[in-house]
Amino acid sequence: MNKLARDIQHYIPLIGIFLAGILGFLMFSFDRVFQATLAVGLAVAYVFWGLVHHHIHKDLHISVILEYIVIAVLGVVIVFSLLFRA
Amino acid sequence: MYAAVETLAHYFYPRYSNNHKAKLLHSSTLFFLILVLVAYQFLLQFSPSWGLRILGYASSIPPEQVISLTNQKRQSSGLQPLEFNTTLSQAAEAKGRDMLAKGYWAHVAPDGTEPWKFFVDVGYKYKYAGENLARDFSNPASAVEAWMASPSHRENMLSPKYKDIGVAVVEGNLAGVDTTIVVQLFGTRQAEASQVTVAKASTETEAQVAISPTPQVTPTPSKLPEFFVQVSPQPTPVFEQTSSGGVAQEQKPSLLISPFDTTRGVSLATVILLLLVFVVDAIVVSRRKIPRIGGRTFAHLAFLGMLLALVLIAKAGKIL
Repeated sequence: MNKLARDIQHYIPLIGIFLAGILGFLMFSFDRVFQATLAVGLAVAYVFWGLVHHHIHKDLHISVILEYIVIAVLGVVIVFSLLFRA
Repeated sequence: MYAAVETLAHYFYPRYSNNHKAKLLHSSTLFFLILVLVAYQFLLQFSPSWGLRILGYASSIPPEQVISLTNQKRQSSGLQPLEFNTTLSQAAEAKGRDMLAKGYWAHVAPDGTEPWKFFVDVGYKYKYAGENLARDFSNPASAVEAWMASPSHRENMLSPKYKDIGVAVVEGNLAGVDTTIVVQLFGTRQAEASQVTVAKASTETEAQVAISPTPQVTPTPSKLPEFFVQVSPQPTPVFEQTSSGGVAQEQKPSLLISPFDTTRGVSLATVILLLLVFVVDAIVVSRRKIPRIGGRTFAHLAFLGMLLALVLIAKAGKIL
């Protein structure tokens, strides 16, 4: 919890990006291409945030990068499968 | 029994056997999960060709409700309701059948057939014409709301230049997937159009643009049509006569599995499971003060929370 409070200035933009993504997904519900692009953009932003955050904390390792990438790809696969099936 | 508990603990709880991080959260396991989800989509995609008729959409979209909802939207925008036109419904049915027969999902067929051909084929001489398409919606309200959310479709629905509407709901197999297509056609006959004050016109082939500067508001509810088209190429369609005596409506087959609903179910289960395991992991690691190199759990939780929201927001159905 202390770590969370200490890095709050890092988490606020991340949460802001995610909230904007949800809003965009809602507003452009009629545009599948936009939604798909948005999903990829959010995943990239998430990985990029991880890179910057861990670089600042000097604990950026390949396993950490891989962790963010795998979770981001999982998110993209889930959103794409829904958009493809919708 | 003990082995099963050990295995579950290994996958879902941070302990010595998984290097104090639930195995499910290891990158290798997450990668395997991605492969499983992709394989599941392939299974859904190709199962019809293997003869497993497990796919389909159980929908209930009465065309009269599509028209009624459309007219409600028009009236709430201060526009006159559209008159149901049986000829346009026949054109809509022909368009729907053509899409199923040729296996396309587009306004223009692969052979170049444009939507306006169907107007002409049934003898509807249009001055203005428009087409909205929807597929795989489970009810008429969601289809109409999806059209209203799209500026171009909304423009069709709320255009004062149109006088008539025809709707057909066609069910069949489109490119290997059981599908329900809603074809909504708008039009104004040439004779009627002469009574409309035209303020602006474009040279578009499919529909000339006309704007009535003083759209009239009518308080009277739209007249419900007496005949609707709802066709299905299913092998044993059953039709029933309604109390009005003029509406033929097919009885729906028994519930089939919807690819979208099953995909959403699997997605929800995956995301919620990961969220729970991440929360448990964060609590245990924090209490035990286990030092380890890894991503920030709060960031992962935020991403998965957003993903959960997107999964819940996603709606079945496409419009064109």
